Amino acid sequence: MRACDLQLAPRSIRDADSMAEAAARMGLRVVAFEAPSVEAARGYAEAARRWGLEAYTRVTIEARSWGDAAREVAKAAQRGYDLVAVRPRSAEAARLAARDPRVAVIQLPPGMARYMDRSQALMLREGGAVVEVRLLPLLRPGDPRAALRGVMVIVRRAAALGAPFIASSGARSLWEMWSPAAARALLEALGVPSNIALLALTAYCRQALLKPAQGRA
Amino acid sequence: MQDAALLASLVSAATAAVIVLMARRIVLLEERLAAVDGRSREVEERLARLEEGLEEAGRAARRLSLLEKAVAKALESYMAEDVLEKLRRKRRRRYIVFYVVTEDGSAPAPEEVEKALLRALERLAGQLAVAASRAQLVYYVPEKAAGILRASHETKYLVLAAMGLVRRVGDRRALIVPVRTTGTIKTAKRVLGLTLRELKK
Repeated sequence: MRACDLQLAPRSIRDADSMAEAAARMGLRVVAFEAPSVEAARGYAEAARRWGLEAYTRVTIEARSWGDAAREVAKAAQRGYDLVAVRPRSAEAARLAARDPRVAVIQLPPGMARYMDRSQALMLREGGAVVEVRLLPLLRPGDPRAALRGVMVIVRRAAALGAPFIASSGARSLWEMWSPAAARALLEALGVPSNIALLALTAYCRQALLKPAQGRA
Repeated sequence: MQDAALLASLVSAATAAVIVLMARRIVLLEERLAAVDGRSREVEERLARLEEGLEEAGRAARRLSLLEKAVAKALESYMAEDVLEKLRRKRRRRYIVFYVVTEDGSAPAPEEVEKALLRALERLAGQLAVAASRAQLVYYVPEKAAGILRASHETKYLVLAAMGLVRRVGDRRALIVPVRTTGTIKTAKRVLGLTLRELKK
């Protein structure tokens, strides 16, 4: 099993090194690093490769309207990120991002579970992107119910509609990382079938990585 | 005089005719009465037969209700037996091997680890899940900061997910990383890399 975590966002190369070491010990094989600049992300990925991991660079673009976000996506693709993710803030952005050939990941926060519907699943099928849920909101202190509910609705709907989805930690340090066994167990505890939960941590990540940031054409 | 005699003879003839007619009517009525009598007897017979049938049906119903009661009792005892059998059957358990990573690199106390795990499980799934899982730290190696947690097989995923939610053990930042889930404590100890002598403990 080649487990993946496609969103690690360390704040320094030291953090990246400790996270890569922990990831290798936890059984992760593929990671993607997010950083403000592509050079920093490449540095983190290089540090992770020393621990035997397959490492990629990634950028997450927040999209309120697709008109502005499309330009950002084009810029990110030009800068040479391996993965372009979009965090939509409107239904229009969510739908159009899913169809864009350069966007590999649509990150849905727990509060935007309503966007994971049949139309979104169809758009994802057209574009080949995957939906991403972040596990970081579950670790926030206080009542975890709202975050748990949002994540649960997204993953259940995605599984029911046959849309590919992945679970990423979004960790900024070693202490926010998730082991693949715990993440898979969480998905199963939320009601996702066992085989789909496994796919969410392995094959669906691979599907996202197969989609180049520069687009198909 | 002749007229009076003729009138008298006519009256007597008419009277005789009326009497004959009345007699005929009476005969007809008697015949009809006899027929009605016969029918009423038939009806009575039928009613008697019906009553007999009803009595028979009542007896059968009583017999059926007895049978029903007997079947219900048998089913109840069968179901009770089934429940008892389930209770009697050995509980299936899972042993989860894990290790702990802490901020300062030192191994936390086993009580702290167990407390953190149970608190995370309660936060995730509630007290009922804590009770149903029967989660218990059964083995702990402080030198390796690794241990074995026992849980019921039905709540294995909840316990594993709760492990992912643990971010603090005691007053230190920590991670609990599940390594493998086994069905016996012997295999779990093997996974921990214990020696043969330690395995027998």
